[in-house]
Amino acid sequence: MRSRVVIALALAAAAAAAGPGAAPAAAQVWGPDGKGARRQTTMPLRIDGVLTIGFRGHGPTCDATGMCGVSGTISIVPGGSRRLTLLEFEGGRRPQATVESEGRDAGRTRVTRAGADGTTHTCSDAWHVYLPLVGRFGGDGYAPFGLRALEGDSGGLIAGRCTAALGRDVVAALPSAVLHVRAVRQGSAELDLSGERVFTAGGLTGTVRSTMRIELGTATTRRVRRERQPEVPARRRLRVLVQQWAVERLDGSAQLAAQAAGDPFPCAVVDACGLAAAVRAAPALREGAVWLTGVAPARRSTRRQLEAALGLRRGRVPRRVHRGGYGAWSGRGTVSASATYADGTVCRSESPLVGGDVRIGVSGGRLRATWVAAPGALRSRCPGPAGTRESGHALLRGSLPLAALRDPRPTLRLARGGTFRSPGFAGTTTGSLALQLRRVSLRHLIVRE
Amino acid sequence: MRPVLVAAVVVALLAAAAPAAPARDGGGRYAVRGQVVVSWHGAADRCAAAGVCGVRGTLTVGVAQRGSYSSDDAGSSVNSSGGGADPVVRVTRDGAHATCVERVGDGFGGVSIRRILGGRGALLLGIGGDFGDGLGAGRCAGPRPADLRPVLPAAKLPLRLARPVTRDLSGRRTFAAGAFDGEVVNDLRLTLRPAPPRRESRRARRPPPASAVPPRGQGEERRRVAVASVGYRVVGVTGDIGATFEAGPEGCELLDACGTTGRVAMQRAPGGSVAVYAEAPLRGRRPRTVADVTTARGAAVRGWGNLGDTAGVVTGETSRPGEPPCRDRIETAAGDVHVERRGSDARFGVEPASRSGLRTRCAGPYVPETPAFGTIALGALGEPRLQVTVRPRGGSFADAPYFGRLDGEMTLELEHVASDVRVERRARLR
Repeated sequence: MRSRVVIALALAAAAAAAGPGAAPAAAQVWGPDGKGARRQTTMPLRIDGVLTIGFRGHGPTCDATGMCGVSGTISIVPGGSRRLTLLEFEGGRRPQATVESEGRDAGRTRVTRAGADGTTHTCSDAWHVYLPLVGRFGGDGYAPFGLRALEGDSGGLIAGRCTAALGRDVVAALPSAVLHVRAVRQGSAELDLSGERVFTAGGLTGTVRSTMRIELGTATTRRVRRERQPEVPARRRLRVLVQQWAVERLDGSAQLAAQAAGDPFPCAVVDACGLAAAVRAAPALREGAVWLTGVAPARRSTRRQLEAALGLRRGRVPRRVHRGGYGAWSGRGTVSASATYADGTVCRSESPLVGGDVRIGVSGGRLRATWVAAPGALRSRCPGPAGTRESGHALLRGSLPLAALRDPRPTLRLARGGTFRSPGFAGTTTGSLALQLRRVSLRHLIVRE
Repeated sequence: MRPVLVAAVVVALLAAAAPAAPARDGGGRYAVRGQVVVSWHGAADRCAAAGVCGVRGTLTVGVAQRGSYSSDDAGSSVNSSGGGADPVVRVTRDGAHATCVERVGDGFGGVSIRRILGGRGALLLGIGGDFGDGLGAGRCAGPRPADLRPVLPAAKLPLRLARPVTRDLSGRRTFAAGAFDGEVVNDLRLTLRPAPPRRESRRARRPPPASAVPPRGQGEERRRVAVASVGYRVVGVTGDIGATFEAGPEGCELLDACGTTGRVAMQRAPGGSVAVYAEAPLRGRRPRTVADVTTARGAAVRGWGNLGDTAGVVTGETSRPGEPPCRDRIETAAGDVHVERRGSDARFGVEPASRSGLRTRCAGPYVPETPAFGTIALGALGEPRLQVTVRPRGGSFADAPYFGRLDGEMTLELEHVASDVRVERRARLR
């Protein structure tokens, strides 16, 4: 039974890892708690109209942030056809709605800046946006609907390398509605998300203007047959050992320094000629955990050997063992950014850094960890490399001997930076981050592959 | 959240612990990194007639991708395991404050790997993609993917590699595309590593069980079917298929499309052929004509063809108030023709060659990949001359901020080349 749970979780994780826009997989239907969906409703969904965000330096506060003389426009144009799927579950579990899109929603920006000598500089950029549209259903049957369902910057609504407001700056001004589960079941509805609202944040002020109208097409409902676990012939048994630590303390920060990448990239198109960008990421801890997992053929390994493979005891290590891990924390840290233009103008930005994660591997008798900033996590209002979805940066790396994991409270230090090249920019990362860990649990499972 | 994360790690490790895939001819791992920058401008000697003097554009592609590739008799495959590209087009016009900004590309990171024709299993890594839109100016004014494909960086991939190698793909190439001149500059570096050795699993080596192949003749019964095939040559094509479009006010600004209107039209020269094949259960007397088969009860009618090697021509014009219109003319690959039964009619469909088949180098929308259809009576198949008029289906389209309407019609003149009517005995599974 335990192994079934792990496999169910594994499939759910794999489905989640398929990314935005991925088709709902069967694993999502039966879910980790084993309660199946009983009804699935699908309908075409069409979005007409666009979202336009106009912004400029905010008179009273722009001096402090260097945003005086900046003005720009962002437009989000939905593209392609979409399908909304509503899953209703047994046992009082709240319904889930997903919107799949066949096309790409396009984000574009054009920002002008008055230089110290009065010349006008222009930065333009474009990116793909994912609009999930439907948030989580509450116990009352209502779900937030519209762009506010993005919950801040998670959908990458605003990206790119130019100066711009953050997604969380405009989230309160985004058009929104609520959708009752009954309305989704019925389909054939039209929701008006048009409107105009003002925002002010970080030395910028502007207007969010939406002409979006969303049309739900004819709903098709079908009962979902109880999904049986796919019958895969069992081939071999694997022994799995999962060591979990809680993150007790998190100290330190990472700095990222970047400049225009130089030839052949034409720096002028993103107003980056002579630009020096700096970002400091200082995470904060609310709670966190680190997992290290070892997997080996069950017949050729013992629990004690797997414990040795994870550094938890001395002894022989199984020959064919695979080891890896992951760490994550929640908490609201800060991203402090500055960008100095060739003419001496300085842009400054402060924004929250939400959570973080480390990837863990084992090689050469050491546990090796990398702190990776998720794409967009280091984005600020200033220009720089952190605004693209491709800019997931390996900030800091570190390692510790596996033998150190015998200590119930090991400390994982990440202090090795590196160089990076992202489209249009090149730079270095430096800094130090220490994760103080406390051993929490050790789980031993046998699963059939 | 926690159990899901643990599960993700377990999944990754289970995948790593999985047994090896069957043996293949070869392959390896690749990592490609760097920048590709395409720049273009209206060519001094050709821009006036095309209305693109003062138009300048760039396409910047940051490439950071790695993965693995392999090739065997069954085909070639490529897996991308990380990274990506962000191809962005920026086009400006002298004297205008607007910029056309467009994210282009196929979403596969801009890197594609395909088999080289003629080379057994040899693979070519290319930037620009063979999927989706490819790398071009998108909906802004500038080169089409077909213009850039020959000048974008590419490298042959070895299927057998003893040790890691790094190749410098950097270079500078110029191109001319319609009324534009331009160049492609890149500083890409390609690193290749041998694939880790793989073992063939015991299960893959085992021969298929004898029971999987049914003995000849067992489980079959014989039946007689009337079969007709008829071939036509395309001797005339008149008219054109196209679309008129305009940009709406919403979202037009950052595509520099406000106020633009235009039309694209595709014409084809005569050429190519169509073969139609019909089959019906034989009831009563032997068929004498093609029509006897095509109009018989339960007849299946299918046909294929193309409009020949003679290229079609797409002309496009995009206008904006107070400015000379942009005009372009491109040659396109021939589209396919297919025929199928629709009730008592044979429906002819003419497929466009590709999604960007109606995209010219002027600013404008992607006109939907909609085939044009026309019908004739099934009984007319076999006649010495046929005339089929096809029209695009679908009517209006939207490619925000552009919207428009498909229009026009094309008439195909078909001349009979050969036909054959016969009765065959067929095996039918009981």
